[in-house]
Amino acid sequence: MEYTFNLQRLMSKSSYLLAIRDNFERLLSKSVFSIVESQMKNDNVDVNVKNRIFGVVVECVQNICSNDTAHSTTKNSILLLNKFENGFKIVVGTKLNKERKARLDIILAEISSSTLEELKAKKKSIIFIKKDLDETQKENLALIDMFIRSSGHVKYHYDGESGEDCFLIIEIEISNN
Amino acid sequence: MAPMETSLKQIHSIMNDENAVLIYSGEFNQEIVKSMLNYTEGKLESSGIDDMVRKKIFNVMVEQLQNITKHQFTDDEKAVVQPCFVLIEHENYYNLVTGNPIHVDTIQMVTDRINQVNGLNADQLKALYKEARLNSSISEVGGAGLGFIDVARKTENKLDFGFYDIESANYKYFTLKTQINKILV
Repeated sequence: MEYTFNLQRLMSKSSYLLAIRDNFERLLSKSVFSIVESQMKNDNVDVNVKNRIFGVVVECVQNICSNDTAHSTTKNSILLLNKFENGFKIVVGTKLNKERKARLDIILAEISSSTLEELKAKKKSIIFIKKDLDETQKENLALIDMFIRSSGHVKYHYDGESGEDCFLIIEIEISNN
Repeated sequence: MAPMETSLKQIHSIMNDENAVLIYSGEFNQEIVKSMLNYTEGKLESSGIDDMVRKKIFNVMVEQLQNITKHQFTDDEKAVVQPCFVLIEHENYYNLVTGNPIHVDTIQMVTDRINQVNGLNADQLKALYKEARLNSSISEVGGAGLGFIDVARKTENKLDFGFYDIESANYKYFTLKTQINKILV
């Protein structure tokens, strides 16, 4: 049972409060938010900051984590909440197949090279599309939202790119200011 | 490689290996406990397991989280080690694991109590529970002892535990693991 002690050590070392490994089906989203919310209630976090954190968690759970609900035993995504001196960090990791990796690669590269003003304009243009959004548009909107809500404090990288699948890790920092 | 990235990979790897689905490491209060219970309830509902099992998991979790809330702090300011809760899901059972600092003076007493509980059958546990309730001049350790009996009765499985060294002369880290079967016999 030493793993519990090791996990606690690892969590403490990086100031992680919470780690959830799941397939993040819709039913659980509400419960995930409730844990994050209780932590923020505890810390008297400003409403504006709280809303930004919520927005990012929603996008992570609903649009970035692999919602592989057809196989409830597969838990290909992880969500971590980290508290630091000046705010919170949300870290999301999810397994990607080649197609999704190629798609997200393009979206992330484009977003990273855009200014916040350009991203806000892009967000508006996607929101005003009258018909239902396709997967690419949903992912694009989710990632744009994360960049805007965190004022551009988003880092991402891939792990284990050699095989069929890889693991995408995105870190989103929301400061209290 | 950034330390945070390393930790994430290590945490994810241990979670995968041990089938852990939720870890919380930090201060426990009523709000946190409530939200952990909500999460687990939602998870159990979506997994469609038997109501009786669900109730059992919920009750044991309440007991364990109450215990951790009560025993999370140390008197020694140097021994700042956060308590934690881990939810593990296997194909046929769930594990609920808690970790918290424990004073070295109480280790033997806790060890004896858990070993005693682990050595009893259902009827003997029932009798011990009654006796412990009657003699409830509940000291801190006595209270925890009652909790061990209660958890052992509800889970119908042995309690697994361990003590680990931390940077303190007065405290160690105590972990307690319970197992609740998904299918009742």
